[in-house]
Amino acid sequence: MPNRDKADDTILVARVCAGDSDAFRLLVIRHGARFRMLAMRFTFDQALAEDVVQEAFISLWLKAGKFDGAKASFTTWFHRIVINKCLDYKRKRQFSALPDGYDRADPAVGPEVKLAADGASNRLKTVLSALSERQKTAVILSYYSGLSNQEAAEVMQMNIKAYESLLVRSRAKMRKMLMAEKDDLFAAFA
Amino acid sequence: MAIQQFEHGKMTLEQFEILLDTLGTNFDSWPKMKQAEARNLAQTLDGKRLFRGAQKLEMLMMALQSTPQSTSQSVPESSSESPLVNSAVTPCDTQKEAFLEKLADIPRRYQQNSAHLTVCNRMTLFVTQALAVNSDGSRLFSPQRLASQAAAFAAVLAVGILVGITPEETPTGSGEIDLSETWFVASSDFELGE
Repeated sequence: MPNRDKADDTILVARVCAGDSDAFRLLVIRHGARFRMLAMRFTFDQALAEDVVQEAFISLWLKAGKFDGAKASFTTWFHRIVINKCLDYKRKRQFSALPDGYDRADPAVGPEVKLAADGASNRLKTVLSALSERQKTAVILSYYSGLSNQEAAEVMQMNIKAYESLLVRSRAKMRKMLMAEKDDLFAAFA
Repeated sequence: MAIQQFEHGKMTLEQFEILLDTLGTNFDSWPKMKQAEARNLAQTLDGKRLFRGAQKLEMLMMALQSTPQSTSQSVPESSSESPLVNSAVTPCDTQKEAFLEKLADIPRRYQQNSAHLTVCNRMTLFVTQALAVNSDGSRLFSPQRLASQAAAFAAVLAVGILVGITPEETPTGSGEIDLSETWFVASSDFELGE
């Protein structure tokens, strides 16, 4: 089934290349939310994440011919585009303000869950900010992209062993940071 | 990777730390021969501290994976189905779906460069579709079919080369044959007598 999906994505990109907007819509419906979430994990800013993903999809619409299905699957290729755009944006912009929607009421979620989620989100932001860009990318791909380690390594254009070792180093660094914090901060998750 | 390094000998605290970062805090998923040692180390003062740190990290990652914001919901794959038709729609979903609609609107707002619609692209599309799996599971140009065609081509080529290099007996000593000698022989049959 996954192979079939990959094949379908490749055909859809070829159709996009030929100007088929229905194929583009299908790719958006299939992958849009996933890449929005990925970008949010990178930027911690919903508006910025949406800008990044929109720009990536505009690139897909205008330059779909650059995709080579023989070299990589669509998701691997598009992960690379989104991640590179996130890193570009991050280089250009300083994140001093709180993210959009930080304090927006969300009736679907209980206040205590929201509080814990916000707290965890901020803590994750702090911990991730201590990592290098490569370490951060490896962690986000591993935990939030739904890719296997092999696929994540392909996105980062590394071999699997190097990727896994990068991931272990990142986890060690994050763990050491967390160990320095007070235990009771994590009562919310216990 | 780290596991092979520690196959023999007693596990040190440093090795325990590396394995915690590599394999996580669930000792059941560790290699069987290391599980008991790891559990013992996790009871020591330093081991406990390391274990708690690794647990903190896992809890943080899991908490964020399970928050509604980070849950990626399945969306209908058919282009005819709008993602906006879900019955129980939360503000979060509405935001996400509005964003997806905005993305889907890109083709209307951005004109594709006509240079993209080249013959080459259309050929790529044709070939990609031809090589794709059909609904009945068959392939128009399967690797087996392409391989058999290539083999047949190579065989014909080889036979041709062999025939070409085989020395032929010639009626003349010079090795040259004058084919033109017989060109008009047949036509003499049709000549009308004067």
